[in-house]
Order: sequence, then structure tokens, then C-alpha cells
Amino acid sequence: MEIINYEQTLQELREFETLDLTNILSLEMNIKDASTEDLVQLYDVLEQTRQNLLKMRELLYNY
Amino acid sequence: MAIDNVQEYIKNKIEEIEKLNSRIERINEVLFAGQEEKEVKGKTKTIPLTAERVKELNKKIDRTIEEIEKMQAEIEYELVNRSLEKDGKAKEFVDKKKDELKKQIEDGKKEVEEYENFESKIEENKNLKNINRLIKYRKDIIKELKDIEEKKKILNEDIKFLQTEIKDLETLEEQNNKLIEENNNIEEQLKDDSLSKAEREKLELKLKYNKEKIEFNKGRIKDSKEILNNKRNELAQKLDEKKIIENTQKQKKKEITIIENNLKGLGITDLDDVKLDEIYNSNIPIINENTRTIANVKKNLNIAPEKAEDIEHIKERAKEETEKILKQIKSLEEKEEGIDENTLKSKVKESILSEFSEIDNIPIEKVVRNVVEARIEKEREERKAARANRNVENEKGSSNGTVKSGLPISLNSLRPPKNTFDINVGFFQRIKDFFSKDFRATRREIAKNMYPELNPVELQNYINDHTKGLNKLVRGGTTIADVKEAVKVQEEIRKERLDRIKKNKFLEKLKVDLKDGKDVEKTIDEYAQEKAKNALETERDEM
Repeated sequence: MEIINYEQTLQELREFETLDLTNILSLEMNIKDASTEDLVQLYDVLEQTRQNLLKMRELLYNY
Repeated sequence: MAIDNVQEYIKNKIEEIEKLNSRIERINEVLFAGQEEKEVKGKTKTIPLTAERVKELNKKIDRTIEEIEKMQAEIEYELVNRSLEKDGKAKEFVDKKKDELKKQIEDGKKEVEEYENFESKIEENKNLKNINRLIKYRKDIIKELKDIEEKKKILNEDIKFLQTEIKDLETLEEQNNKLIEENNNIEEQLKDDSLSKAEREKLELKLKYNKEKIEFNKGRIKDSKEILNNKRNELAQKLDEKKIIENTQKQKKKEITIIENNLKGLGITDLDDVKLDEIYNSNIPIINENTRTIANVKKNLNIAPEKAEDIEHIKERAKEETEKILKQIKSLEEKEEGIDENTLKSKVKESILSEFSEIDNIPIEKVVRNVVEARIEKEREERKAARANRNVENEKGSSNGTVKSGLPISLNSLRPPKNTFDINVGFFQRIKDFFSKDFRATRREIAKNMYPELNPVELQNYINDHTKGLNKLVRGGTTIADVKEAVKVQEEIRKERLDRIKKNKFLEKLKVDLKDGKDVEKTIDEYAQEKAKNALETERDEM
């Protein structure tokens, strides 16, 4: 059986609702200055976030 | 903000986003657990989310996804450019991305197919279930009809038996009556003295025998009368029963006709019992298989089984997703294939031309109007503030026992304060300001200041063509200073836009990709000249 720290994560959900995502997901630099490797890595981690958010939207759909 | 160490900055940024990811993943687990009712630490399993919170969360998610996609598009664009500049890692990324997108398209297509298949399976199952239900119903009715037939047969036998019994009893009664009649005759004959001894004895024997038989029959008839009545009632009942059964039989036959018509409607034309049994039996495994598939798809999709709109929603989403991916692929391919020297040149030119077009289309009349409005608003604010100050001064005067001025406040601004014998320096300043103000300009003054390059004839033509617009400006209280200010503002806007163009990424790209920059500069010059010629006309249209 999967055990999840329920109360703690609920708190995280509340925090998530007030979190400034734009700030986290914005770049204060010109991407031209970044190395290709860093850009690819950044792209991948953004994709992961996108996927997670899509999943969240899907889960919320049933609420 | 200038970043000193880009690598360090990106590293920190990636770490920050990874932390965000972990947080979202944990939240997703709880949301999932809430749905699946998995074991969770805590007292409750349901997530206390109101519809309003869900709505807000969805909005936030959509906005963030949009932001991410924008960032990804920028990175993609940069990486595609780098891949064209023979950057191996960038090329690797682009190839991988293309493959991924193509795979996603395939998956998307499969998904859509699956949904469509899923729907057709639901439809197919519905039909098959209907057919089987009808076949089974038909079979049940036929069985019922057979039972009815059997029952009817038994009833008929009972009826027949009863009728025979009733008839026998009735015959017996008749026979006795005949015997009584016969005995009466014999007794009459015995009165005759001329009968021989032998004849008399024979008649007496017959009489005796008949009497015994009559007595016996009377006993039978007496006992049977009650039985006869019962039998008659029983027969009536049986006949009623038969009638009911016959009606039911008629009804059932009608039902069979309806069922058979329905079956024909569902494509079953051969209504042979054996054939229908075969269809029924062959449908069962298909229905079971379909039911399993439907259940699996529903489980995978995690949707409420009865909600058809959910299926529609998911299908729609899959289609949207596929279209989006197709667009992404197309855009990637366009980026990759489209950036040859000629396309680039034309794209750059197009972009610059559109930017220049924007610069030349700043109508001076609009700028004048804006400047006048801004000036009037500013004066209004100043007057308001001055009024407020005077009111405060008057309040003070009033409290000191002096009489408040009865003059309108606007005139008060020109009146020396009453509460002091000293001449206020501010009063003379206001007088000076009032008279030094720029007065309303005439149409000619406005036009001349807007277009100083026009010669007198052109100026007169312009005034003639734009009398209405110029009158508006005059009525609006436009001063020469306003027009001069507007010309300055317009120049600033032009300069600002020009600076923006200089910084434009297309120009940067142009420097990198075009060996000969003269071509574009020439185009820009030509365009600027042409636009200068047309500027007047454009502005006239704007008026």
C-alpha cells in the first residue's frame, strides 16, 4: 500500500496555490548567452514541469 | 538585469524548477490518492477542494503551461538556429525533438483511433446486446407459447371428458324416463285378462326388472345430479380459462411479430430458430470482449463510465493535442527548412518594412489631440489643487472672523486675498501666468506647425481638405505650443521605435546571415522615401 504524507502535501498544495510561478519560470537573461547543453537541460526540465502540470489538470478534472 | 555567471544562473534556475517539479509531483500523488482512495497518512482521504479553488488552480495551471510553452518555443528557436550553424548538440536536440513529436503524433493518432474504436465498440455492444435481448425474448415467448399450447391441449381434453361425462349422465336420465314410460305401458298391458300366463309372467318379469333398473338409475341420477352441476361449473371455468389462454397466445404472437420486425431492423433477416440461436451464441463472446475493452479503456482514461460527455471531452482533447503537435512539427520543419538565405532575406525585409510602416503611420493629428488633452487635464488638476488651497485659506479667514468671498472660485483666482493688507506676490504671478498663456491657434497656425515642410499652396490645399479635422483641433483649444509639443512627441516616438528596430532580432540575424547588408539598407531607404511621399496621404486618411 502506498503511503503518502497527506497533511504535509495538502499544505504544499495550499502553498502552490499562492506560489508565484511566473517568477520561477522566467529567465532574467538572454538565452543566446546560454550554452547549448544548458539550454537543452533547461528545456527538458521545463518539459517535465509542463507534463506534471498537465497531469495535475487532468486529476483536477475529476474533482 | 545583467547576469555575471550565466552557467551558474541557469544551473540555479534548473534546480529551482526541479524543486517545483517535485512539489507538483507530490501534490499529484495526493490528488490521485484522493481519487483512488489509496491509503494515506491522515484522517481523511478526500481532498478538501472547492469548485472555486479548482477553477483558480486550473487557471493558474493554464497560464503557467502557456508561459512554459513560450519559453520552450524560444529555446527551440535558438536551438534550431544553432543546429543550422552546425552545433552538434543543438542538431541532436532538434532531431530528437522531431522524432518525439512524430512519435507523439503517431500516439495521438492511435489514441484518437482508440477513442473512436472505443465509441464504436460501445455502439456495437449496444446493438449486439439489443439483438441478443430480442432473440432471447423471442425464444422465451416461443417457449411460453408452447406451454400455452400444452395447457390448451390438457384443457381441451378436460373439457372433452367433462362433456362426455355430462352427456352420459344426461343419457342415463333419458334412459330412465324411457324405462318408466315402458313400465307404465307394461302395467297397462297387464290389465288385459286375455293375456296368456306365459305372456303375463314375461311382462311381470320385465316390469320387475325395469323397476329395479329404474330404482338403480334413480339412485345414480340422484347422486350424479350434484356431480353434474359441479361438472358443468368446472366445464364453464375450463372454457373461460381456454379463452384467456387463447387471448394470451394471440398477444404473444403479436409480440413475436414486433420482435421479429425489430430484429429485421437490426439486420437479422433470417428468423429461423436455429439460425437465431447461432447468432445469439456467437454474439456473446464479442459482447464480452467489447465489454472488457470498454472497461479497460475507461479504466485507463480514468473516467466515469456513464458520462458520454467525458468521452467527448477526452476525444476532443486528444484531437486538440494532435493538432497542436502537428503545428509544432510544422513550425519546427519550417524553421529548419525555411531558413535559407533567400527566405531569410525576404523575411527580414518583410519584418523591417512592417516596422517602418508602423513608424510612418504615426498621425500627427492624433498626437496633437493627445497633447492638448494631456495639457487640459494637467491644467484642470492644477486648478483643482489651487481651488483646494484657496478654500483652505478662506476657511482660515472665516475662522478669524473675516467674511468669505461670495465670488465664483474661478474669479477668486484673480482676486487679491482679503485677509491680508500685504499685496500677495502669488496674485501677480497668477495674473502674469494667465496673460502669458498661449492662446488658441488658428487652423493655419496649427497646420503650418504640424507640416512645416509644406509650401503655401500645399498648406492651403491641406487646410481645405482637412477643415473639419482642423476645426475640431481649434475647438479643442489647441495652441501653437501644443502643436510644437506634439511634433516633439512624435519625433520621440519615431526615435523610440527606430531604436527598437535597431535592436530587433531580425536585424541581428540579418547581420549574421547576410553577407551583403547593402541590399537591405537600400530597400529600407527606398521604402522610407516612398513612405515619405505617401505619408501625407496616409495622414489625410487618418483625419
